Amino acid sequence: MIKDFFMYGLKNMRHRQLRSWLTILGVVVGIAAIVSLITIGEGLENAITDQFSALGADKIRVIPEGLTGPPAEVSGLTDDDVDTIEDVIGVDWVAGVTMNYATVEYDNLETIMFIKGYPEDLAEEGKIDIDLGLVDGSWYRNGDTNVAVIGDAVANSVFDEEIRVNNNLLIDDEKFRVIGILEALGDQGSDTVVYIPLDYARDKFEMGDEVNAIVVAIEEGEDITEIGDKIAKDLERRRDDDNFDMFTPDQLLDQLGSILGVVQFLLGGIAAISLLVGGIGIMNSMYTSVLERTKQIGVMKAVGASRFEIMFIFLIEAGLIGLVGGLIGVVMGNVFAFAVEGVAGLMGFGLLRITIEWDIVAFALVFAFVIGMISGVYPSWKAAKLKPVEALRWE
Amino acid sequence: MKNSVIRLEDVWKIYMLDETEVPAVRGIDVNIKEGEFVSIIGKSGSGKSTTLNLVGCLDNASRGRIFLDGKDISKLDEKELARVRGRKIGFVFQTFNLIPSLNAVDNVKLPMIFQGYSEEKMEARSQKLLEMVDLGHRLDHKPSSLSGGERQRVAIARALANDPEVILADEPTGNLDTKTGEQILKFLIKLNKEKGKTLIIVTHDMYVAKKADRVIKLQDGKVIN
Ligand SMILES: Nc1ncnc2c1ncn2[C@@H]1O[C@H](COP(=O)(O)OP(=O)(O)OP(=O)(O)O)[C@@H](O)[C@H]1O
Ligand SMILES: [Mg+2]
Repeated sequence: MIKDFFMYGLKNMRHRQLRSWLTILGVVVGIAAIVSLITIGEGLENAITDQFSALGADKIRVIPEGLTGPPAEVSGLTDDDVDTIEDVIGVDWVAGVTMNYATVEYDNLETIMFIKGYPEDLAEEGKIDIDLGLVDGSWYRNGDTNVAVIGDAVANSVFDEEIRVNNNLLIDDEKFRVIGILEALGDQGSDTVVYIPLDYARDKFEMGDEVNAIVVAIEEGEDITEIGDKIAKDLERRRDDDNFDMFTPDQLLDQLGSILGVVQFLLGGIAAISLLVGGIGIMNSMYTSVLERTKQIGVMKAVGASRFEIMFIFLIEAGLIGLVGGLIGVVMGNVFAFAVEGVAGLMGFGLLRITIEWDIVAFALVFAFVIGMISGVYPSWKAAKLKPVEALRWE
Repeated sequence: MKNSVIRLEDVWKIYMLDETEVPAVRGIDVNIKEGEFVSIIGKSGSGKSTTLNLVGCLDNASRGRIFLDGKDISKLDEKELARVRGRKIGFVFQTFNLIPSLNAVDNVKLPMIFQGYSEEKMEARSQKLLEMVDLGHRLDHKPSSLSGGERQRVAIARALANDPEVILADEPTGNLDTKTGEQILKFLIKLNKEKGKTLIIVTHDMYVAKKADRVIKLQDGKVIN
């Protein structure tokens, strides 16, 4: 019997072709919107989480107060601060890092780029401030001078020609040999980086014993917050001031997470509105559909359909409309999300990784079916309530 | 003595139109026996359709009692009424009232769906019924691609779907030309004569009325003889 009701619903939808499709379209738009928006939101969150996990969850970063990014004109941090932190128990290793912008030339093309001076002894041991491996070559060693390890973007996209290991760059007109190429992190900014030996960088950029940032790796098993507090206390005591900021990737991630939460909430809100619009669309269409077929309802009653069965038939039809719309909407929503990923990739934000979120797909399908049913409830209840004669009299 | 299938006792139907009462049926007493062929005639507005609808459980009487197989239908709830409409009564309308989205076979199946028969049984039975009304070659035609006479024959097949005791026809030939009308009438009379169905036909047509075992004439909602 239920099967017959389904068949009846399907036949009716086919019969009403254009109108059915218009109704379905309403659902499609709503569902596609919610699926794509949430999927993109998730992709965004993945991207940001990935990027911050590359910074290493076990590392603390210390920067001069009030500076959120490179380069520093006047740095408040020196080797003394590095030494102070090294003495804190629980600290594994400490890297004082310089950051400067310089012109980089390759293959007759010149561009301004971000140059990081990174301690060669740490580099030699593979103790790097970000968790990225090398795709080619090696890190520099103690005593190396005019050598560089470059980011993925520098090697592959900044210049017209691809840079390989052993090619030479000109940094502020000085020759540097590329000895290593980093893995890609995903976004243009982070991948456009050049590492050179710290000592040489300080000479070249006349930094003295200053550093622009200190990266602190914590020993395994130690509590990062506890060590952080100790570092802060020791630094304050030695420096006699607190002109520095400290943060851990977790803290940053937390902050970003709450911003992201707002963004996702907004995306979800827009999606909810489109769903509502879709829902009203189905309701309107179901209502007219039922009204138009009042006479048919009279016929069905005359041949023995009960009130419940009439309602059931129309609910199934409404549910089917919802489900078909939901299926198409899910496909279109994902297609749209992947398209956004593609465009983002072309624009250098290759970090956005869209994956099909199966739980959202499932939710959207169930939702579409249910909203279809709900939209069908009122009109079918009204229709089923009519006396057969009244329904049959309808023209 | 044959059993009484339909009995009306002082049945009234009063419509309310903006506070004014419109009595369409005013105290009808009728007794129809099993296998009888009765025609109802009367001027337009005399209450023929109203009476037939009351008998067919499509509407409820304002006063009086209607018995089907000895059971007072005013005591039935909505679900039981649906069962009576589905199993005991086959309706044939002047305007055919087929479902446009369904083909002939599916239209004939419709009453069976609500009785929960198996697919095979419904399929086989609706084909058989359509063949009986000479529509074996039109099984998958939708109403829009059938002639008026063919549509009414599909409607007759549908009325027989659940093998009801009573066939009610409200001006079944009213929308058809004379020749087609005669053919439809032949089918209906065959049901009465060969299958023993109780048949009530509402008509304007004296030719139709005279074929009946008994003619009931209505005037102003009352039976006159
Ligand atoms: N829903 C209604 N509301 C008010 N009055 C109605 C309603 N239905 C029928 N009537 C009135 O009841 C009376 C009987 O109507 P009915 O349809 O039974 O007549 P009929 O004999 O079938 O006429 P016809 O031969 O034209 O079909 C008419 O006067 C009609 O106007
Ligand atoms: Mg009438």
